[in-house]
Amino acid sequence: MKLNNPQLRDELCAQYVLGTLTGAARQRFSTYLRHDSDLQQRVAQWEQRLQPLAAGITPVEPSAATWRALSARLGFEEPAVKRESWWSWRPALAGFALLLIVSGVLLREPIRQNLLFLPDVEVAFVDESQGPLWKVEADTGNDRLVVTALGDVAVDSAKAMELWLLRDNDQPPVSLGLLPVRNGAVISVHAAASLRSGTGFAVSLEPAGGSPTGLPTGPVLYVQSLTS
Amino acid sequence: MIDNDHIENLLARVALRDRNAFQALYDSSAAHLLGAAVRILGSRAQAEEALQDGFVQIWQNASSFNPAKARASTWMTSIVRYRALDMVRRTGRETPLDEIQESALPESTVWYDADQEPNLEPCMDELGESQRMCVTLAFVEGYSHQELSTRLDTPLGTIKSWIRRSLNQLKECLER
Repeated sequence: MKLNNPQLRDELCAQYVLGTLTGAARQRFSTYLRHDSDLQQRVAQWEQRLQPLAAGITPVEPSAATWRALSARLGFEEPAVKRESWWSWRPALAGFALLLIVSGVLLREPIRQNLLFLPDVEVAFVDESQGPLWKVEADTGNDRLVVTALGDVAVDSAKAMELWLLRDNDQPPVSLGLLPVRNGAVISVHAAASLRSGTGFAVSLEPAGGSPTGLPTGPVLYVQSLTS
Repeated sequence: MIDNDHIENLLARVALRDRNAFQALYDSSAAHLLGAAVRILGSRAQAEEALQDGFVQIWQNASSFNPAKARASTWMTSIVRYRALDMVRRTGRETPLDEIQESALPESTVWYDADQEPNLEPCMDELGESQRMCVTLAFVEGYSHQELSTRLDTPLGTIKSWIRRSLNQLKECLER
C-alpha cells in the first residue's frame, strides 16, 4: 500500500469511506488507520463530505429485542431507568412545603432552631435526558442540607458524584459531600461553610470517595445558580 | 431531531458510562442507523446485528470520540456503515435489493441537525449521471466495484476510474 504519496493517501481514505476499498486492502488500511493520525483526519473529512448521502435513507425502527440483546451484551443488568417526569413528584413537594409552613406556624422559634430542618431554598438538578436527579433543600439559617436522589444515577463504580457550594468572587467552592445515587436515597449534610455565602450548587464527577484535593477535579456536570 | 451539541453531550456521558445517556442516544438514532444498514445488507435480521455491533463499539469507543475532529452523528453513522459493509463483503446479500430510487439525494428527515453539513447536492449534480449513480450505489447500498460493474454492465476498469474521478471532483467542488 503506497501511503507516502499525499494524493494516493487521500484517494485511499475516500474509497475506504465510500466502501469501495475492499478485501485485503481494506483490512491493511484499517490497520494503518489505527495508528496514523493523518489518515484518521482524512477519513473523518471524507466521512463528513459524504455524510449527506445518508440523509435520504428511510429509517427502519429496530425491534425491541435488539435493545435487549445490546443491553445484555454490555452487561446492563436491566434496561436503563425510565425517564421520570419532573411533574410526577411536584405534588408531593407541594404537600411537603405545605406541611412545613403549617409546622413553622405552630412551633416556637427556639424549638424550630434546634429540632426542625426548615429549608428556605430548594433546588432540583434535572438532566436533559435522564430527568430529575437530585433535590437539594437548604436551610440557610442553620447551614443544613437534605439531598434526595430522584432517580437511579448512572455512575461508574470507580467514580462518585460530589456536591459543591459555589461562592462569590474568588472564594473556592466548598464540598458538601458525595451525592446519593440510588433512587430515593437521602443524605443530610451540615455545611462546612455559610450557605448564605453561596451563589449556587454544582455537581462534579470525582474518583470514588470524593475529590482528593478538596476542590473539584473531574468534569462539572451540573450547575444550579442561586441568584434569583 | 436533536442538535449536534446534544448528541455530543450524550456521547460525553456515554464515555462516563452513563447508561441513560446511552439509551437516549440509541432512541434518537437507532432507526436511522438501522435504515442505513438495511440498505447495505438487504436483510433486516443482518442489519439489526450490524446495528447492535455498531452500538457496542459506540459504547466502548465513546471516550475516543473527539468533537473537534468530527461530528458525533457522522461518527456514529460511519461506525454502523462500516460494520454493515464488513458483513456484506463477508456473507454477501441475503436477498436481492429492491429497485433503487433514481433520485440521488431525496428529501428526508435526518435525526441530527444537518444545517452545518457540507452542501453536497450541487456537487453531485455536477457529476455525470452514471458517475453519480456509482457513488450513490456504493455509499448507500454498499456496492463494490465488481457489483457496480455487473449492475451497470460496464467494464470494471471504467467503474474504477469513474469512482476515482468522481471522488476527486466532489472534493474539489466542496472546496471551491
